[in-house]
Amino acid sequence: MPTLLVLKLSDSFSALWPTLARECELELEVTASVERFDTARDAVGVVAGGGEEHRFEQIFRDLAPCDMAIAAVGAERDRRIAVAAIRGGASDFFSLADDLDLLRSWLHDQCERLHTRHRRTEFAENQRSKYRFDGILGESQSLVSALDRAARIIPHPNVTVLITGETGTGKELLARALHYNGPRREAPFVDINCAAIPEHLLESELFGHEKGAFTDASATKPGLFELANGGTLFLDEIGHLPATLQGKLLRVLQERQIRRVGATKSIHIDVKVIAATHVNLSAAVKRGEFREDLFYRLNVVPLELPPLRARVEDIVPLARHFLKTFAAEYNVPAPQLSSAAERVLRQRRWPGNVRELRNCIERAVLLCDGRQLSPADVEADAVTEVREENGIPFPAPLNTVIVAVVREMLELCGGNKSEAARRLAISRTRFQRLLDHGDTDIPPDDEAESAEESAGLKLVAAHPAIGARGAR
Amino acid sequence: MTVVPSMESAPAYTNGRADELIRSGRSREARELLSGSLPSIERRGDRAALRQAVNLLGAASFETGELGDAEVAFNRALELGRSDNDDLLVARATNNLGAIANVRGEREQAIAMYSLAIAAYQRLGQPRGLASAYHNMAITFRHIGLLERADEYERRAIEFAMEAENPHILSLARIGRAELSLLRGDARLAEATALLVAREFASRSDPHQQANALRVVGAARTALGDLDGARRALDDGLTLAREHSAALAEAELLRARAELNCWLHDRAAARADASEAIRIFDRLAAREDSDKLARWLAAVEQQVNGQC
Repeated sequence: MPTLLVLKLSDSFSALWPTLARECELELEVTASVERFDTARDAVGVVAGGGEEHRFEQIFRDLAPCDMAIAAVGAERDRRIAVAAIRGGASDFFSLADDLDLLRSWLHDQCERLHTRHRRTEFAENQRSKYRFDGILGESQSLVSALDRAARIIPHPNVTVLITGETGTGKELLARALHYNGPRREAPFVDINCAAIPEHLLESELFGHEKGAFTDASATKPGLFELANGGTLFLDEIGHLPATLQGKLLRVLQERQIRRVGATKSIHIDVKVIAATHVNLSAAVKRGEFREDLFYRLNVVPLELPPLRARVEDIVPLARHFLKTFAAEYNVPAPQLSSAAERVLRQRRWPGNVRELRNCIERAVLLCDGRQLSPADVEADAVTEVREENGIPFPAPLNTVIVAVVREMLELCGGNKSEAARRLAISRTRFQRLLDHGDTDIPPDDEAESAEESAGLKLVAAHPAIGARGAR
Repeated sequence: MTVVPSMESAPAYTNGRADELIRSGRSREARELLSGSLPSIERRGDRAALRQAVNLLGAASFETGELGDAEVAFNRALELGRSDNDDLLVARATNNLGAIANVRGEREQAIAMYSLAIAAYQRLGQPRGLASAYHNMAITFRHIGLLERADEYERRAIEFAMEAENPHILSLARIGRAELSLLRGDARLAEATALLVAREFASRSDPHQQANALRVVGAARTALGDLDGARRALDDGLTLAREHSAALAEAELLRARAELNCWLHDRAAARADASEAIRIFDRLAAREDSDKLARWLAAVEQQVNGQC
């Protein structure tokens, strides 16, 4: 429980502190010594004047080095006393009895801030144990050598890392493990998917903006670099970073400074950058789609995660691990893997890599009706059927292929429907229609809007916007 | 002499009462209470109470569908939070502004806001906030049509909800995943997940969300061709929603039952359910839902031979 530490300059207000401490759920400690504030931890401070208010400025100057919010409490509502206390370093000034409710509210607020600090430390510890380096499962040579290399860079807080690997190989997991096991673990790990946010919003998202920088900038806003200050910024799908922002990111990496959109001054930042991509960046450089200088700046320590097909010996141990995890999560007994099921798992193709294996096992845990998983439980089904590496199912009904192509293109274009439609050489309306109608009958391009809506008859595809309100 | 303020006029009382009203679905009353009290809270100079009141006003306005007012309030909360270094309020207000953008259909803006909220919650080490923001982000990705990404975000929401020991968001994220399974054509998985969640909500006596889970069970069974099972789930959900005045859940269940009735070629029943759902959506100011369903109903009416 945090402490209410009261520096008493006189005997006034003595009866008040036990009541306030009880109301705010604080331990009370009353002292006459300024030095006590140097050693106090997890406390909120009050200097109670009670007729000695003229000493406030000097007292607060003496207290100044301590890392604690301390309020001055006086008997009179005197502006000069309040100003002197604040000048000395007081967080706030309250005159009793007029401001009693304000003092109470201030104490509650300070307690909440102390709780927040505790939670932050606790959170970092939890994340660290969740993303333990030895918690990354796998014994295949390809994975072990990638992890060895990663482990060597953990102690270096500033080195930039580029993680490559196919979709679902665990790039983000590795990035988090690097952060939470490294020297920056107490600071935030901030991640952003560069493909998820369109170019016109991404700059402000990364670097922030000043009030009035553009039409919608009604207030100054810090960007993700600032929010990650002291910690790590994970730039996922860096290959999708628009060309204009590639130059700006390069400057940040070189100068360790950012400039908010619309700002005239730069802000120093201390951020470790980890980037990840599933595309071949050196090929993108050759095609002129990615800046060579940025590529070399990011590629200081390249880490490549192998696809699951290159670590077949890890499939069954991973599957067993997921079985245990999901059985615990759904509170059901963990089914066993039959040897036939193990064989299927080893022989199946896993274009979605570990993520696909995880999904497959989760599905099996939820749907299995026995104590042992059979081959049928882990075989590719209608949804996770054989897919080519680019995510297009084949062989499959034509409509399924069409819908998969539409979704894949949307992923490729980072959610930009107009761009996806342009690349598929169809209208945006038709693109939207294909997207909305799932693998059911697709009305021709020129059908009326009402016909599109009538596809609500096909429940699977046209499930309306449910739960759009989200969680607050 | 100390003048002790009466309980009714104390900001802490006002905020507590408003919070309670919002939680019990009486957001309009909460709005009135807060709008009336804000000037006096402001005059007293109690910054902490002011920040809380402004944020609650935003939440109440959001619940009543006054999105413009909600946006103004959350922007003000954001400003107050930044100037007072109240990082938690900054994170919450950002998350809520994302939700407003999403309801308005400004998906990219919503994603940008949620990304900032997630970063702010990361700074604070707030797993509950992270769970909520990831769940919201998943909903937006679902609307965009990026189902795999939406599923990954729901997973993260689940992970942080478990860490925060928050069964409510945990179940909401699971329902979200069940809906995603349905959209991806895996109705079996959707049904299994939604049934599990319905049981979870039942065990926690949360009839609103239990009804919502039963709606997904019904939709999944419809897709599987188990039309009797679908009707049972939807009817049970409707009974629960009506018994507990869960208006939004009731409207969504009616919409799902209207779709089921269409499958069964019972146009009269479909029309009755859809009309009732539209009426409720209108009452809740859920305009997007109402308009969409009205267009659907119009399309149904145009079908030939009286068939859906």
